[in-house]
Amino acid sequence: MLQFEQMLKSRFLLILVLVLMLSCSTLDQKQGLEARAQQIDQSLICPVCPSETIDQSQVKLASQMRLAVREKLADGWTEAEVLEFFVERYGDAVLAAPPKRGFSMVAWIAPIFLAVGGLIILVYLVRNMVKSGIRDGVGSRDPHGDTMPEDLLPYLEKIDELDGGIASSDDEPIVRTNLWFNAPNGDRRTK
Amino acid sequence: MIADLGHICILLSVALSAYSVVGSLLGAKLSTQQLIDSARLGGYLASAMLVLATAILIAAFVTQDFSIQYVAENSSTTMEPWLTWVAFYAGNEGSLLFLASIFSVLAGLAILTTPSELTTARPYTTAVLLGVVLFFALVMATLANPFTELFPVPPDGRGINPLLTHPGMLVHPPMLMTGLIGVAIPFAFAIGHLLSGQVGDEWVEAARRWALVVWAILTIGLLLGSWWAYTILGWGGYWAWDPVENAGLLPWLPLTAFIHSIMIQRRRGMFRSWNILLITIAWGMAMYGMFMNRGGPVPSVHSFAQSALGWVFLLFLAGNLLFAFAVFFWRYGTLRNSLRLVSPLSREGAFLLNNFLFLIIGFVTLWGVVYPLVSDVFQGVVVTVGRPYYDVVLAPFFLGLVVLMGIGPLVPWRQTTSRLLVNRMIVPVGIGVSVAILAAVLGVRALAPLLGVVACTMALAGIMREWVLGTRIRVKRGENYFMAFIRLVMNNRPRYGGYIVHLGIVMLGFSVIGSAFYSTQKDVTMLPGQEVTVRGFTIEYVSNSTEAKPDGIKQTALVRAKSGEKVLGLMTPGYRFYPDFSMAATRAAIRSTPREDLYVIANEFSENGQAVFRIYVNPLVLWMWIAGPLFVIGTLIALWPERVRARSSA
Repeated sequence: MLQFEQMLKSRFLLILVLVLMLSCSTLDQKQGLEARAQQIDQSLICPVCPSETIDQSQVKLASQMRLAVREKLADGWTEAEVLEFFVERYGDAVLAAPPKRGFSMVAWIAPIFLAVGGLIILVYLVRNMVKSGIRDGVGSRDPHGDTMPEDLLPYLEKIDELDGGIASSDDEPIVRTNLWFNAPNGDRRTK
Repeated sequence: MIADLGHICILLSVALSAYSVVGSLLGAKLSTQQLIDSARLGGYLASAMLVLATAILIAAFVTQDFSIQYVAENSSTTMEPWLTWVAFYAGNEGSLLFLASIFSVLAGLAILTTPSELTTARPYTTAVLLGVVLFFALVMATLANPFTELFPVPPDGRGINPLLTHPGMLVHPPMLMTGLIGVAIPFAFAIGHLLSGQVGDEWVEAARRWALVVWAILTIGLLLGSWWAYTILGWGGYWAWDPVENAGLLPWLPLTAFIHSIMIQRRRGMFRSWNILLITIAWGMAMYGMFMNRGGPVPSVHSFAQSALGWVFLLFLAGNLLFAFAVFFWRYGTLRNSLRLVSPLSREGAFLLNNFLFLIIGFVTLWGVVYPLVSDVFQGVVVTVGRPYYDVVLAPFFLGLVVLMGIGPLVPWRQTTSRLLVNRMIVPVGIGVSVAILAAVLGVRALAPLLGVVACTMALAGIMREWVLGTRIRVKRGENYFMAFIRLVMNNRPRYGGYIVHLGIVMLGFSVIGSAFYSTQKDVTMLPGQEVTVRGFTIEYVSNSTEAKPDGIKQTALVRAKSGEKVLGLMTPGYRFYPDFSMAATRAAIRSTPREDLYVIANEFSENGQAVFRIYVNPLVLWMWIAGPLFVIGTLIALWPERVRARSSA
């Protein structure tokens, strides 16, 4: 079947690209001392000019710190060690993002909780909306609402096509489907 | 004298807007049409008073009346005349006056043009709108009077903040302020409708139209802010996730969600309570944004001490939210959906997912903004939440949004089968994947930009698919390609206007990918005559010049840019120091092409002409500014009124 083949093909392409991307990403390490140094510059806040990183700031202290970053990297320090060096001198406030340790883990974990909580609310909302309200034409043919009679497919395609291409209004086709399927007269919008 | 006049205007606007609020509510309660009408008139007059106050303050600036404290603090005799408009809103009091008067004018327009189906709700909408005007007028009458007088009158003013002396500042702050406070208009339509107890979706069209206007203004305001940061802050970037920038972005996110999900209510009578919540959240975030700009950029314990204004705004925010939620629960019964959601795998479901992603991004950003305060309270350290945080935390959600932007429009309404969906997605996904493979072959080697490229290309291909298929159907009916395309767009404006905006977002996406992952930066100290090569560009330091300006010293380097052997032209990065403000500002020299920007800044000039240069090569940045006009065009098409069609049967 042609459509099935197409589906396979798309999956195959997807898998191919995923493998490709994963293999590529391992190759990619920001090269060069200067590039690494710039990365660090962008993660350190200049202590005398709040909310500017030492990469952005043009004050003397910032350029001294930039120099120190380069010296330490040349001496073989790792990124983490360089950052730790500045944290010891200036405290956590020198970092452009909260550190991933101690209390500040909260800053990093909260978004995950927000996303999960939001997802739960979304699922609840969707289930609620599936249950409440008046069924429109298509749904009333199928009490479960997750499968669709095959013979409706070309028809719905046509409706969407009209909706996007030719039809002069964007809500009328929908209203008509209601009428054709003899949905309960409950759509207050169309009164 | 002129100060008294201004102050009287503000006091009158307090009285008139208070009358309008009380009169509208009372008139609606007692069904007294005369009272309702006179209250509305009171609203228009309040607006006129605020506009008059604005004119008076501007006149004070023009005539250099330093007896008014605000004028003395924000301008001087040496200030260039075109900056008068900027100086008007450069400080707290002036920006409050600007907010109040622009909002009162927009609110007046919204009341004036309210469609006749909303006549029952109009007094309530008027009351909500004028309530907001009343708040700002009251703040100016008590805490932040722009017309406070100085005695003795100083001979000259302090001058304008030098960072604001940029053409972008003529438009960016007013746009952003208008965009922030404008969110109150769709909010007022929603709450006014609820208050009136009407059942139905009559408010949707008016709220959608105003939400689109406000959205476009806010978007352009944000873009202009980025452009300003890019050209004047001198660090080669356009967005730093600074709290002040976030203040503008916060309401933009739920507002964008709202203008999407309102379409479902418009078409299908669904998401009724959800849309009210969304616009309330958007207004809440907008108030929070304004509060952040009053009480100091970072909401910390210390910024409250500086002025009572922060607290007042916070109270206003809390009051508005409490009021909105109270009305919402009171009228919850009127918000039942008229159609049920047939299946989550549908256009409706895609819109819900869009809302979810926008809200998560909004709340995570809000969390990032308040976290320094949380950290201060719990561990006594004010940490910074900057770009490295947002890049990591928000990137997956933004990526999800772009992917959804590509496939959402392909999902049919009501329900679908996975086979139909795969059929429709195969071309966009295929194109996205092929381009990614091409990019990988051409040397894109990191996962994040590759994923970004796939998402953006898919979205682009999805939009193109809609345009090509739609046009082709019309061409089959005998129209030529050009007319077919124009008629396609014009016949379903909300949809195709939206696609034009999406096209702008795709450009923005590519621009962000290019500049975030592939920019090159080089710091170098040079003497005149020396040159440096950065990624194929050669920058030759020719000479420098120093100029004494009335407000400080201006130093300019003259450099010659070459690409290989080809001379591209001369560039003049500048550096200015303002002793009055002990502030320095760089003026970057930028040479833009669609491919990349060559960006040069110079500072630390020495006696012998030596200067420190920073050179960036930033790919694709120009596309970010090109996206701006597309946002405006797309929004205009989406909100252009459709022809009234004769309905065959009611």
